[in-house]
Amino acid sequence: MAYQVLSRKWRPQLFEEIVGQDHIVRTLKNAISLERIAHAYLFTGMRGTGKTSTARILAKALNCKNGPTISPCNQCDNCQEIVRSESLDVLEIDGASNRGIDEIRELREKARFSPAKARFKIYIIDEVHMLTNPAFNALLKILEEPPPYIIFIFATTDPHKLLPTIISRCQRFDFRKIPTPKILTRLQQIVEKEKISTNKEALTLIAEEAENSMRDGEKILDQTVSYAEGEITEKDVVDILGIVEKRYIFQLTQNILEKNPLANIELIDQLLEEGRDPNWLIRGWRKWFRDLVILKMGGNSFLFLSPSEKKEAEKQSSLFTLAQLVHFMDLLSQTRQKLAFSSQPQIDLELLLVELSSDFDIDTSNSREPELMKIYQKILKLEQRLSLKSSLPETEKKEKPEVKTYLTKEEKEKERTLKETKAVKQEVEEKESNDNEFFEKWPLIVKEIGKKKKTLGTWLQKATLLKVEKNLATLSLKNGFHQETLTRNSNLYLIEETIKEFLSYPFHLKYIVEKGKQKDKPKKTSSSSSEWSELITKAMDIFEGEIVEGKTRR
Amino acid sequence: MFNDIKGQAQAIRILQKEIATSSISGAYLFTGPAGVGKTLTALTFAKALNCKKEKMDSCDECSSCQKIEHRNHPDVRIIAPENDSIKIEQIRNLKRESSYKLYEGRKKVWIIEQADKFGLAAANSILKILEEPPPQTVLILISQIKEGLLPTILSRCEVIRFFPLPLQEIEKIIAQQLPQGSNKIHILAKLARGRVEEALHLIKEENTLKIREELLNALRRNMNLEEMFKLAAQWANYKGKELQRFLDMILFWFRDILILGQGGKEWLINYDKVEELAREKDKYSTEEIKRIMETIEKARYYLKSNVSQKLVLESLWLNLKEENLRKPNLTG
Repeated sequence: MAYQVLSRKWRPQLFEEIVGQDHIVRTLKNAISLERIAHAYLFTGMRGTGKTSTARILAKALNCKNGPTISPCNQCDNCQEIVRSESLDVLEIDGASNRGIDEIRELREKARFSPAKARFKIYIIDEVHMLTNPAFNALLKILEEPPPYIIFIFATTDPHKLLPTIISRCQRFDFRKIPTPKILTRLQQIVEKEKISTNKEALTLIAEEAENSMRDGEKILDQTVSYAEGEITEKDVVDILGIVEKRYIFQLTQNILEKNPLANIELIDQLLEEGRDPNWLIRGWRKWFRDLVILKMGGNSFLFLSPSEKKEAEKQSSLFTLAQLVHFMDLLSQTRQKLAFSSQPQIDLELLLVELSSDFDIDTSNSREPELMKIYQKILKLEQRLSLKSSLPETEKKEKPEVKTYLTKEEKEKERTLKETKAVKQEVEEKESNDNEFFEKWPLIVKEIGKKKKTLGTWLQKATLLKVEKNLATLSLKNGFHQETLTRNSNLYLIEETIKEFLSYPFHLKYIVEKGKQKDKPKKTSSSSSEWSELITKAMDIFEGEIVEGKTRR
Repeated sequence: MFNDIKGQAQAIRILQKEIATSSISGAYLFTGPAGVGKTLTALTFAKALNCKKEKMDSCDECSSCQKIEHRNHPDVRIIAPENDSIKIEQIRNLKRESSYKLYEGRKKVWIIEQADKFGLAAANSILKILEEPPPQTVLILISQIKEGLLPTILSRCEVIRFFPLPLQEIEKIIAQQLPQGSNKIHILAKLARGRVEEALHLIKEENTLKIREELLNALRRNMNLEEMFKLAAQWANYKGKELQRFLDMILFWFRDILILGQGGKEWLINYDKVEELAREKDKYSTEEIKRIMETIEKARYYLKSNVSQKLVLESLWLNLKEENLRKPNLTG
């Protein structure tokens, strides 16, 4: 006989062999011994948990010559035929290939004939979620009141795709994920009977990687047998699946602590060259950060760690803030999504590594929800204004024209400063304290702006802060080009928004270009009328354009 | 012959050992980046399973191997997406034919290319045969990214992973094809990023390096609209694969800016452009680079989904330029 993969060879043939589904096995056995057999069953659950196997065992139990029995003999003709999928009375139908109404009509036609030799005529429809809607509907009548010799067993991974009218006509059994220890036990049995030499560490790793699916576990075992020379070791499993071991993940995390993205880039390059799976890396690393988060919050259970690993994890966990860890997990999730489409996974990983190492002093609220933060700031501002308004109605009026005045129109600026000096004493005092605060925070603000847009940051850094007065800061710039860029609408917006993030009230900037370097200024003023040039500036602002060529037609 | 496949020792070891111990499973998934030898390995495996002379390998001489080589062996079939997806009809056909007897070979081998392009119905309809393939039938699914497949499919296949080759090996392959001491070897190897097929292509296309120069110049220069549109129109004539290659080069450029920003001079792909890169590196923050990379990926996606090439390229250039100027306004 041709070779059969382990998952087929060791497919359970008795109720007792089904792993991890005790609640289902018990119910079915009782139903059989009490002769309370339903005419329609629905088996749902994730891949590799035993749906199809249970369906076949149930069929055997019902049709066995000694039956209905809770322990089919697997010897009689009926059982043997079912095992070989040759039985005339047990029809296993692939719902995904025979999904149309025509196939169901045919099924109904044939269902009228009584079974050829067994007790029941059993229809096992696997992947039943793929039936079309008309096909489902064509099933409804026969499913509700089938002839006494008919039994339906449906199996699917996606029960939510079934019509509620179908579900309500079936006895439903939800297959659970199989816990890792149970997979391990089963693998040990198989290894013993197959005389495969291996060790416990390797098997444990396989059981973990099976991710609660028995078939996956058996499949990985199969593959490792083909790969290993002699005894199966942990290393073989690692090679086959491209697992990234904990010590590497620990090292990667350590490098983040030491702000050394280059070391990580090198390490990743090495790991990928050795054939590690980038997806696995992301998954494993995310698990690690999850454990760090749990430790951070003082949790002790639910960890996937050995005692020595736990020690290391505790150390790292104490060196990060909770906000950072959560932020890291976010970044990893983003990268995982990217990897599902990426043609250059290594570059995606490299970007991730740089990101993980930068933004170190993040403040949760700020970086995680920038939009929310802005709204919050606005509310604060409004509240401030409201309280001001109720006590000092005049100031509100004066603040209004501020909205659109902007630099270059220095005269307006002066006017405003004049007016403001006349304003109530209280306010002046308040503003003075604001000015001091601005002085203190300016370096931080520049840094933040630089993070958002590097060029702006560098130029602001090169500028000298001349004076700060009444919510207006004057900066001296190296050249006119800088001024032009800094006052471009979108940049202006960015700068002011950033200032607001820090100060929670508007603050304006005025730029002065250092003397002698103001070469492009005269050109503009020399144009025939200043009104005309103002129009152009306005147009440029609206369209965010620039002057490519200056020509006037007469 | 398995020996002709560059790299991929692990995959070949598993397959040959399974032939030797006649423990061939009926369903495989070959997964790994483009152009590292997945299809070649699948064909070689099919040859080895049916070869008239050799048992563990293909001889590439017998009638069976020849027929497979020319894709007209009646027992070795290749399924590829029709109109961008694998249809349920194709799978039904596969099932029907799998129930027939062998024509002349020892194993029926079905190679399914781009298995991530399964339609939902087709993907589900292959599950049963993947789990319990008829005896003498071997199904080989090929996909670049295994995450694109249903978990129920993954669980039924023996997953064989293919890797990009180490830089030195790619260099060796290139060095064999170029005159000795050619100064192009290293940069071509870097640009190939571990993909053999890409390396061989880069050697053949002498223009590539010239086009790269133009491209990188364009990226550094502050182009105006007219120039950008001209460039886009010029590119629109290239074929899909060429374009993907250019997108790669743009991606490599910004990736290098990012890496150099961290001081990683020895990790550059465009290692011959250190000075140019150094001039660029202060212009972009990590955030900006990230967004640019996303823009490139988006363009890639659009190109694959049949959007007009010219439009995609125009919008790509505009977006790249916008990145220099503007941040998206969150509040509008």
